[in-house]
Amino acid sequence: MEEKMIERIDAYLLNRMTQNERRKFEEDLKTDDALRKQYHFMTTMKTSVASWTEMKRKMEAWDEAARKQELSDLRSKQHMSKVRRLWIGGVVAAAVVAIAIVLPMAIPTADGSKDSFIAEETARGNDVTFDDATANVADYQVSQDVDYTYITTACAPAQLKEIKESINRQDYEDAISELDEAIRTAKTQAGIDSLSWLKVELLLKTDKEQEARTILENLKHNSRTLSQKADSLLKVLDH
Amino acid sequence: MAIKQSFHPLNYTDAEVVEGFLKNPVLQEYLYMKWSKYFRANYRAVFFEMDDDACQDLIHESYIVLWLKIQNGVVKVREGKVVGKDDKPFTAALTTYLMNVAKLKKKEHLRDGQEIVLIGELGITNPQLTEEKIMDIIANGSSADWDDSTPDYQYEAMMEAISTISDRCRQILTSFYFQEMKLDAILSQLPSFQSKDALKTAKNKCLDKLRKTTMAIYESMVRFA
Repeated sequence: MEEKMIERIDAYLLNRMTQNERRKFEEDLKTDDALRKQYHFMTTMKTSVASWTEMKRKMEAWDEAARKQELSDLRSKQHMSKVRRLWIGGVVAAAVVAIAIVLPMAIPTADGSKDSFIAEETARGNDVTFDDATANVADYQVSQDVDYTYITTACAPAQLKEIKESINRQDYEDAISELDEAIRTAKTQAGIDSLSWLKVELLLKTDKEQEARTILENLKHNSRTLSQKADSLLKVLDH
Repeated sequence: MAIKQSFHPLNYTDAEVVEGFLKNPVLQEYLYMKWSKYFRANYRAVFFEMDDDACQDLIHESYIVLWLKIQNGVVKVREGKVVGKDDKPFTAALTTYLMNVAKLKKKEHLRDGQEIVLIGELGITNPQLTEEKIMDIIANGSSADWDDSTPDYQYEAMMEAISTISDRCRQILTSFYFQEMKLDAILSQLPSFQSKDALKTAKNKCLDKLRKTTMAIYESMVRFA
């Protein structure tokens, strides 16, 4: 009985009645108390189900939007973090490269140590030594194995012989005078530079640093073969 | 070219939210998001650990309660202030109010000793109602007369009852009465039902259970109003 009533109400609420059936149902509503109460309940239920579903759908949509937003924020953060890491990585890499390039050039000037100077000169194929006991430039010594090749070609054999003898006697003043003479008569710039370099070594040995510096400055700016070497030694002297 | 813009002000006052709530979906969403965040940030201080689904259900249930109170005019704005029953001003923020609703809901769940009260084959989940109470109502009938005199209570009771019935019942009733699907179409979505008749019987049982649950809630509302 009640099932039949519900079926009728369903058909009415869901517009599944003919015009005649509708009219009859509406007439019954006025007279049938049980039908009226059941109908009232079911209309409230229909409205409530609709409202509840709408509310629930809205809340689920907001939840979903919030989840998407969170995900998007997270991805954005991750992306930013990745970009930041790339930037930092790039900057660090650039700094490392810059240090790797600049440092070898800067170290001799920065520390001016005898080790770096010797290392640099050795790398260039030059044979120079410091007195081990101190790093004092005054101890800068002409190697016993000085390559006199340039000097050989730069001056007359007699002059060369005198210079060698003076150095071996450690009579540096004489050697300097003889070198000055050889420089004056040298025929090539390379020869003049080589003789000048030997003179610098002897000047330093005799505590004539200022004079040595003047020659070194000249070699630094003008010599094709000894420019870097002169520059390095000047840096050691500056230290 | 039109520029798509969305406007999200930083803050609305509770009075602004309540005032424009029913007409402005932005305010509905604003309060919901505020409530949802507030709940998730604070529930551990009030409840035991809950899984995400339980959190979401409680957030939804509580929000529906406030929504209905605003819809029924119980919660409204008077002279720039949010007021509740008997025009009594709110002494706390809406989120605090919602948290109290959630607390009550959770307490009811715990007091009943079970999250789901199974009645019959389809089951009813009801935080306010034990099986014993329902049987009592079935046996003695409801003292509250279901007529046109208290439509707000009826609607509110019905909404609460819908929240508490089983998902399966809700799905059947929603498909039939809200989506206005025919039984054949619902049957194709619910293959667990062997026939159209079985589905029709289930639908009527759900309706019956919803009616009984609603009556019980309605009766308690009328009694304690």
